[in-house]
Parts: sequence; structure tokens; C-alpha cells
Amino acid sequence: MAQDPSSENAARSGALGSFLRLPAGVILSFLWVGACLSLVLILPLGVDLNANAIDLLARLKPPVGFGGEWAHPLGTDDLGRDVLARLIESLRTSLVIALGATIMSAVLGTLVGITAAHFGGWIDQVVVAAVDTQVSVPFVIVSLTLTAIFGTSLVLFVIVLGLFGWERYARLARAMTLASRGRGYVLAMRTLGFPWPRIYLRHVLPNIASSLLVTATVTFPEVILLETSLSFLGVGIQPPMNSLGNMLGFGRSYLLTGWWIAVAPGAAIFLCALSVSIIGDWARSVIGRL
Amino acid sequence: MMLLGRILRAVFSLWAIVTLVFVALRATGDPILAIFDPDDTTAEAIQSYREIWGYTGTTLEQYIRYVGNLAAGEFGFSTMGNRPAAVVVMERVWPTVQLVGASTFIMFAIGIPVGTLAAMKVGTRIDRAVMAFSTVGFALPSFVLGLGLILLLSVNLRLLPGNGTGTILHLIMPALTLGITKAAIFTRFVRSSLADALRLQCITAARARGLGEGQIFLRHVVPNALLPLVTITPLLVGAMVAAAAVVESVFGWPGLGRLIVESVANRDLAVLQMIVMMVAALMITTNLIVDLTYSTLDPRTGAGRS
Repeated sequence: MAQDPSSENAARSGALGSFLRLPAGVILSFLWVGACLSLVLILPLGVDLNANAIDLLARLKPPVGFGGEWAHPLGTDDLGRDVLARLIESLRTSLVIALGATIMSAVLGTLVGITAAHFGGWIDQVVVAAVDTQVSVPFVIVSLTLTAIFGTSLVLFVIVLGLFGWERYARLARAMTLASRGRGYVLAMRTLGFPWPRIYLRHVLPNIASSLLVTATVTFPEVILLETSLSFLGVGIQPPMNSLGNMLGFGRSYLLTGWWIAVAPGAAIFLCALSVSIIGDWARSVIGRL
Repeated sequence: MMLLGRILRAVFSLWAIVTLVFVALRATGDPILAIFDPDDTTAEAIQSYREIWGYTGTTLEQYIRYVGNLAAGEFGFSTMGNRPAAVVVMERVWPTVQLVGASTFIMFAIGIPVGTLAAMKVGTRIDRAVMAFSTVGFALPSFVLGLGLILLLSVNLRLLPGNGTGTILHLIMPALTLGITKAAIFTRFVRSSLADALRLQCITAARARGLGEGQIFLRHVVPNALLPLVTITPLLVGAMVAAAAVVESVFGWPGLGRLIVESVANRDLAVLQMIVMMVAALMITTNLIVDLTYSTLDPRTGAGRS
């Protein structure tokens, strides 16, 4: 599956030189995303972060540079928990969920779009109407409603996030599949007697994958923002799990006495969304030039 | 024919949302048993509540009554306030209208001049700086910006109140938060639609005819650039209503957005579904109106002539 938005591997697999010739913002973005991914994937395997360890004697210690000590580089929160450890754990939760949700909605939307284009008729009409309806209600409200009705659970939360943006992929996949059905290569495959699933999977999908991938990189930061917003409001990830959003939500009560508790996750959310947006913009301009 | 099709699609969208909410509500089981514990409520009491709230008969009958009630403007009782949901929702509308209105003003005040400037200087350093700020603004979540403003203006400088309502000063920070985050997107749209319009051949032709730059801009560039902007603005304002859920919670602003969050926390479904219907109806009608005004703005599309 080509939906994995970490196109950094593709950029690096070329010469290092061509990577360094990219705009500085794009390089920094790749570095930040790479650093986050490696923190998230590699570090927790060997190290026990102990993010929920309480140390009441070391409450509200400021970060290094603001009178803090290296024992807690980003300070501690109201219960004496290490902010850095919590930040890494939150980053892992938020990124894994956002990545999973992006892949889910990309696969779902693409399937729906190709199905609509293939069958046409009333199936196509229903899909178009569903896309219309989805566009007409802001997704934050949809997810809040679903949470209110079904209660807060991790499984439901991931499913809801996995629906975010499906209509974009569906619309794109439908339009591009419709266009490709008239192309020579599809007609040739049909004439040779290949079954439709094979044609779609092996020939149409690779042709439209780059556009879908760009949509995914544009959607990914929005998924991060949605997840953190909902968790911030207290209807997303629930304690004892940590996510950037609920960490910020708790830190909000300590703006006066411990601003670092809120600033650390806030900055992390901002940098993640920013770097993926920059990469997305860059990818879009590269594909636009092709 | 086009007109009729558009209206039918809008009606279908509304119906689909109403039905989905109904199905989702019923999928969680008997709504009465969700509120009352059958172990310590008598069967008669449950039965009488069932009748009061209209949960009798088959699912189809309930569905028909549900749609009928919605059409009649009856949204049921709020379990939070034990008042009609319509009353609870309506008293929260005005603060949100104020907030969204002020934010839209800020969005225009930033987006139109800055976007125009960037479009005039496409490819220059100014343009790149504007685009960079727009990307940053897009990635900045409203609650991070909001908390940042509180930290700066309330906690450190003690200029503005960080929470609550009452004076115009209370409105400044939430409106700035909402306005700036949406202005980041809006500026991009202003820039790209003006830049596209500037590339049109009629602009070159107007220059060749010797028209003044001001004349060209007002008579030829603006009308051409207006079309995409008219499409995106209602969507952005609609998105503001959704973003208000976060911003109002950050600043303790007593509007619809905070009411959504409160009703989710208290599982007050009557209030919640009324807000969902209101927002959906608002968005669908605005989109419909935008579609229909298209033909006035751009006679080429001619969707209004049926």
C-alpha cells in the first residue's frame, strides 16, 4: 500500500545531495518528522518511560533554562510526573492514531470511489450524495455527536477519526477512475480478458496513487489537529493514556504556575502539523510539475 | 431543471442527516433504559416516561413521529436543564453569532489586503513570506493559539480578561483566535483567485486598451476573482462554528460551541441533535444559496435559469 505518508524514505533513497538541495523548510520538516518517528518507534522498545510515575516531592519543577535540573529536562507537572516522558508517550499515541486514521480513511475512501466509478448507476448516485452530505456537516460536530451517542472508547475514537476525510479520497478516486476507464491501457487489458479487480489494483491504482498520497499528506495534519482538539476537549483519548491533546488540556489549568506543562505538547502539535503541511505542499508542487 | 436538482440534493442531505442521527440514537439501545435504571424505577414510571417522550410503538412509528416532531420544530427536553432543548440552544445562539461575526470581520480584515498584496507580487519575497505565514497559521491549532494569547495577554501583560463574557474586551481574544486561524486559509484563497484572475486574457486586453490599473482591478480582476471566494467563504464560516467548540471552551465563552461540548459531556442528546440539525441546515442552505447566486455572479453557468 502506498498510503504511508512518510515519503521521506523515498526522498532519502535518492542521493543525499538531492535531498540537501531541497528548500530549507522541507529539509527541516523531514528531519522533524524523522526524529518524531524514530522517537516514537525505536525509543520505547528498550526504555521504560514511566510517564505516569508520580513524584510528589518534585512537583511543578521548571524546565532546564528556567531554573530546572537535567533530571527533568522539560520540568514536571502538578503530580511531579516528568513532562518529557509524558510528551514522548503522548507523541507516540497521537502519531500512531493519526497515521492509522489516515490509512483507514484513504483505503476506505479509495475503495468507495473506485466502486462508485466501476458500477455507476444508482450506486454512483448514492456515493455522490453521501459525499455531498459529509461535506455539509463539519466533521468536528460529527465526531462529537458520535462520541455523545456511543460514549468515549478508544476503538470508537479511532474509527471516527478513520472516517475523517474519506470523502476527499472517494471524490478523487472516483473522478480519476472514471477518467482512466476511457484510456487505452484499460481498454487493452479488458480486451485481453483481465478481470476488473486486477486492472484496478495493478494498473489504475498505481496511476492515481500519487494524487491520493498528496491528499493524504494534506489530510494528515488535519487528523492530528482533530485528534488533539477532541482529546483537549476531553472526549478523545482518556487517562491513563496520554495524548498531546489531553496533556495540553490538563496543562491548561496550570498556565499560571506551570506554563511548561501546556507549552510542551502545544509546541509538539504545532511542529508536527506544520512539518507535514510543508512536506505536503512540497509534494503537491512536485507532482504538479510532473 | 438544474435548480430543482440542487434543491432535491439539499433536501436529501438534510433527510440523510436526520435519519443517521435517529439510527445512531436507536443503535445504542432503548433510550429510556439509558436514562433510568429498571432496577430502581417502577415499570409504570418507565412506561409513562416512554409515552411522554414518544418512545412507544414500532421503530418505524417512532421514526415517523421523530421526523414529524423535528419538522414541527419540537426537539424534546434537555436532560441537563430540564427545559425544552430549543430554549437551551436558543439562548446560546447570540454569543456565537457575535463571536463568528467578529471573527469573520478579522478574517476579512487580514485576508483581503494581505492576499491581494501577495497576488500582486506573485513569486516575490513578499509573496513567499505571506504563504509561509499562511502555512504556519494553518498548522497552529486554535487551542494552542488561544492558550498562547492567554499566556501573553492575560497572564504576562494583564491586558485582557482570559475567561468569561460581559464586555467587549472578553470578545477580543476568542475572536482573534478564531479569526487568525481561518484568515490563514482565507488569505491563500484570496491570493490564488486574484492571481488566477490577473492571468486572464481580458486583463491583458484591458491593458492594451489603455485602461488605468485601478479601473482594470475593479472592473475586471475583482469580478473574476469573486467567484471562488464566494464559494469558500460560507464553508469557512461554517467551519468557524465547528471550531467555536474548541475556542469557546478555551475562553469560557457561553456560546453554541461550548454547549456542544457540555451536552456531549452530559450526554444531553436532545440539545446535541438540535445543534447538529441547526448547523447542517445552515450549511446546506448557505451552499444552496451560493450555488444559486452563481448564475447572477457568472452568467456563463446559468444554473438559476430553469
